[in-house]
Amino acid sequence: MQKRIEQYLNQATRGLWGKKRQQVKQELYSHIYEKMQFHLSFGQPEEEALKSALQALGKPAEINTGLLKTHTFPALTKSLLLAGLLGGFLVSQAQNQKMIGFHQKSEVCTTQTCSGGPVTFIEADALMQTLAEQNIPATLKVEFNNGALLTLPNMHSIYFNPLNTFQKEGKLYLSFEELITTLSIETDFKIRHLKNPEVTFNTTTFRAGDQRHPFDATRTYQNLIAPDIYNRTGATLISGPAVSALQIYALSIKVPDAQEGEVYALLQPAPAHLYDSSLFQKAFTIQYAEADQGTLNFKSVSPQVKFSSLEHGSPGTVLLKITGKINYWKSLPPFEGIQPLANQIFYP
Amino acid sequence: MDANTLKGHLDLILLATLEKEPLYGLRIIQEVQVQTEGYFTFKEGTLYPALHRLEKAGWIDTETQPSPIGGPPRKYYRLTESGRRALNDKRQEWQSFQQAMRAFGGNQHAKTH
Repeated sequence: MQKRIEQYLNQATRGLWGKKRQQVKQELYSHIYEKMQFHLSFGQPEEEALKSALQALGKPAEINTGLLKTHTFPALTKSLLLAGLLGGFLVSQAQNQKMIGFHQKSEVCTTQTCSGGPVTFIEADALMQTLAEQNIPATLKVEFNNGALLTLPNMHSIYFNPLNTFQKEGKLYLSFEELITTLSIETDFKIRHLKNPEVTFNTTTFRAGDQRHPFDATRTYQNLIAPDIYNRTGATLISGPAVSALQIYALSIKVPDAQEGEVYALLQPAPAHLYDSSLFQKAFTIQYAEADQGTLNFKSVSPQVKFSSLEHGSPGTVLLKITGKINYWKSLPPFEGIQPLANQIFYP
Repeated sequence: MDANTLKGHLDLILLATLEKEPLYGLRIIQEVQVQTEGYFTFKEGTLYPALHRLEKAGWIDTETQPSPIGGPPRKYYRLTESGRRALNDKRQEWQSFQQAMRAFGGNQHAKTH
């Protein structure tokens, strides 16, 4: 029951960001809840009451289109889509090396910083073919405006709003980040590796990119963790040339329990001139590292670091292990905070 | 009534509904349906983007209050001063439109004169 509502709210608010998304979800949830109470008071069974409430509210995709018109900034999105293509790379699937075409686009950086990594789109037809070959009876319904609804068995459908798709040479491409975020909410989900990430949902595994066609998953990880960090702290995450210029001190952290390929993020308080303080309460510089034989190698913005946690108000460096598993309903974030011991921190 | 006709007048309808007192989403819908004797039927979800748009325009503001029936809190929408002015403008617009349409038989009352 809660899962059905959660699916509905996720679809209706897709593409919204941070606090705004939570607020809209809460408002719609309140509506559904009260409508259900109304039907229940007339003796309708719970299942029926929910069905009636959702039917009256309408298709989540329609609400989503309306919300995006009000809450997003078309100009910025357009500049993003017009940015140059890096090339027609490929996604390989783990077991039998099936390939799915993908495009990575560089974001147009309007300030000194970007929100991190290229944006990735994967070819819809090839994705559907790969799923079919793994005997997953998925369907894809494309709307006239290029919005697309991907339905996967045993989980809810994924709605790609028109901002998360694009068409090139007659082929439809879907946002990889959007796909990953949704899969991580709904399924038994794992993601490993920073370059050429390996994604497992339920029993399906695929790897994006290979040695010949390297796939940079920085943004994939960023999209997984940024909304939650914003909701918890009001902070945005920044990276890009201006931030890299500050990250000059080598920092190694031992994480003896780390699994091979596990990705960690190092967050450090960002100087005020690097972000728009009228939009965000604070900002963290961010850097990702993959566990390499139990060690993480970062470049720090300060010569010595003092570790803190996201929940802790005091400024300090925060280390997060990215699990990727989101549970919006129980507010479980897609990461775990890690507190390294003094003897696990090295300044090589 | 078809969706496009409704769309053209939705702002006026919503602002007028909030004229007397602040209301939350579900109550706004009920109020519109009662006032128009069910003439306007629309998917309830389409209301929220419209309310958010009016909020962005500064015509309404919001306040979250606990719900007396339990469950999640309600978000109340309230008309602002500029919302009141916008409502008056829209009412005048609508009256001028009605007036102009009389010549084309848009008003039974006008025909008999």
